[in-house]
Amino acid sequence: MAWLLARVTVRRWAVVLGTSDGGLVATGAAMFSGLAVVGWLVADRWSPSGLVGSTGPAESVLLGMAVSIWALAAAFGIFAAHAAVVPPSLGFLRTLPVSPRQVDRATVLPLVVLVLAASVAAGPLTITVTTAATGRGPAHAGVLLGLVAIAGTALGTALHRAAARLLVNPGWGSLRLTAAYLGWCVAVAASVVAPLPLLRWLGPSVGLAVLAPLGWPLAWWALIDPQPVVAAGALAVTVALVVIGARVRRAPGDVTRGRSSVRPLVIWRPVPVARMQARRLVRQPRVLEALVVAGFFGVVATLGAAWLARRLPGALSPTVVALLGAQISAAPAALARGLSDRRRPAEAALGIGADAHVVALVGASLGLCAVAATPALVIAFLLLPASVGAGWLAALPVLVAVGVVVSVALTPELGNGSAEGGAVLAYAVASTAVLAGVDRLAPVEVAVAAGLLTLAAIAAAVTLERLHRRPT
Amino acid sequence: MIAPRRTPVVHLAGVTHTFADFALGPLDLDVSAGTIHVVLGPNGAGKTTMLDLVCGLRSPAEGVVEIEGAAPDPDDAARYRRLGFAPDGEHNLPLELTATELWDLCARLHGRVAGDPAAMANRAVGLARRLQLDPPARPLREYSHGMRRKTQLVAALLHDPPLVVLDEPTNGLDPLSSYQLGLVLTERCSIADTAVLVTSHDLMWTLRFADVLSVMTQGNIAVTGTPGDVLDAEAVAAVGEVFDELVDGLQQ
Repeated sequence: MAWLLARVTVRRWAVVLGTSDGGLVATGAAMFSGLAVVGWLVADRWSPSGLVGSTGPAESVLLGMAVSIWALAAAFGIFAAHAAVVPPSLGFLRTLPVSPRQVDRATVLPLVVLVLAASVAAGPLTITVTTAATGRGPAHAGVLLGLVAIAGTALGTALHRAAARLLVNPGWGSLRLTAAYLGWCVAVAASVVAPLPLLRWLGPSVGLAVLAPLGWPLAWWALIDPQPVVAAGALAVTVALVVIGARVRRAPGDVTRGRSSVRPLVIWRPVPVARMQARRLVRQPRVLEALVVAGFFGVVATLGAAWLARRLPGALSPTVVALLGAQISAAPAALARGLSDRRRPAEAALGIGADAHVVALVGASLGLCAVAATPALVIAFLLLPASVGAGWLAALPVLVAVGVVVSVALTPELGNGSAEGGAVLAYAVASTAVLAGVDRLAPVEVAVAAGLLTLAAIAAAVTLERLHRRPT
Repeated sequence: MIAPRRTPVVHLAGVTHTFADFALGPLDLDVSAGTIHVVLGPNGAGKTTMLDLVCGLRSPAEGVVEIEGAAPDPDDAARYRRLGFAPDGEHNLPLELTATELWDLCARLHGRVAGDPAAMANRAVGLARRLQLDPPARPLREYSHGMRRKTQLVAALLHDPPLVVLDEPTNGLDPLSSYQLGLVLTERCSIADTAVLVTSHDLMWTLRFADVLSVMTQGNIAVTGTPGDVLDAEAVAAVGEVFDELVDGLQQ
């Protein structure tokens, strides 16, 4: 029974990833088998003598191991918490001879298979490397790494449920998973950046106590220094995270992706068409997610650039920072044309021509991308030279136009992971090509080139859109 | 038209259900074996809520719901082997599956309680042919509205249940298919003594195929009887004949 229903779950995952269930299983099996083979080969040749006794490298290896396992487990915890929610589309099972418990079990079963496969594939290598670094038995390594994995999974679950509780409004429902993963990014960044300065500043005991809530620090320390108190602390933190993960209640109900109500609109061009597109874009859950993610990574990139600029003055080119920021901010434009069918766009039915459609897409995307980039731009103007923010703003229109060209060319189906990923990758390639060599031009030449390029991109998008609409 | 007969398969007595701004009931309704019982009524009259109560998807605030002479045990999922339910709307359809995969899944789930899944899958193919559905090997999300509706109806009927509950089944169906659905249900009633409870807005279909007709308004059943009793008997007969003739004409 569970396997029968689990197939439906696997099909849902496959559809979201833009593949078939056979393709998903085959790819997963190939990946895990490859990982297992590499793991066995490396583990077989691994020499522990290189690490034991050399405290510095061993600690670093163990830190990397603990943080990696914890981060992967937390990412999996978010996914598992999301995937374990029975979707509305399985409502048809309510009037079939299946109990709700069986449906829950079937939803979780593929996740269990995933964990087992990952453990079998990566377990031996992980244990071998850790054992080599600690100089103690595999049981010691296995137990502590197990605690790290459990703590990570529990943290991921807590993050997902906390995001669901925070974004309880159905209109924000589609952002729950995104918010959880952005929280994960913050936690991982904190785990990578914070430990060494904190341990140096506060000392090992206090520093570890401050970091302990993340889940991995005490277990990591117990790997290095297996005192019972530290191991007990690691266990206590893990138990606490599991309890927190279990106690954060699920949000009432869930929102199906791709469903959003759009109020009737009065269409009057040219500006109202752009406004209509902006409304459609921002109410499309996948585009909204893309805007939030672009905004988040714009802030991260700006903060990273500001930090680097302070640590290594003169090492960063303001032009590069500005263009990278603009490139990130304009990425959601690559999804814009996915709102409508390729050959039968809603806009055509409303009497909106290809030119007005494309111009409206560029205008709407530009407005939304600028709004999403605002926090990062504020930080850039505060912490970096003014030329960064100015360059960022100047580059945004041309990059948005490039994104719209990509979106019109590919018309990525929103909700299909591989189609969306393909569009964003194509945009990354196209925008990088457009920006290559810009630092060799004079400012006036850059301005003229940007203007011409924007117009050329719009013209190309209009031509492509006309080709799509041509009756076959 | 046939009058209600034998022990009711569905028995509602004094059933109520309350929403924030709407109260259903108290409802009294009997659906007998071997009859097609159609409930008509304006939007928001409480028809779908009543079907949810019959199917155990909602619990009554007061009153008695009995299916086949006994109160259904909410923890007994196997009871759904004896129910065929097609809700209105597609929100709870697994749109990632093809029609054949959905029917196969339903057949296997029913087959775990009783019956041969392979026979049910064959019956699904036959029913689909009757409803003029040749299911493409594509996910349901790529089907038209009418094709999805037919897929749902076949899924509700493939295991030959003694009770069939259909919420506005002719929505989205072309006239020939809705006529065929009526014939299928009539056959099930006469051959297998199936009890069929249907809500509908399709007056012509109702007058042609209903054995018993209830009219529901504002959460209550205003009147129940044979269509000839509830409406003008001659008009009912005439509408039935007109439907037959129209379908004949369309087929030709």
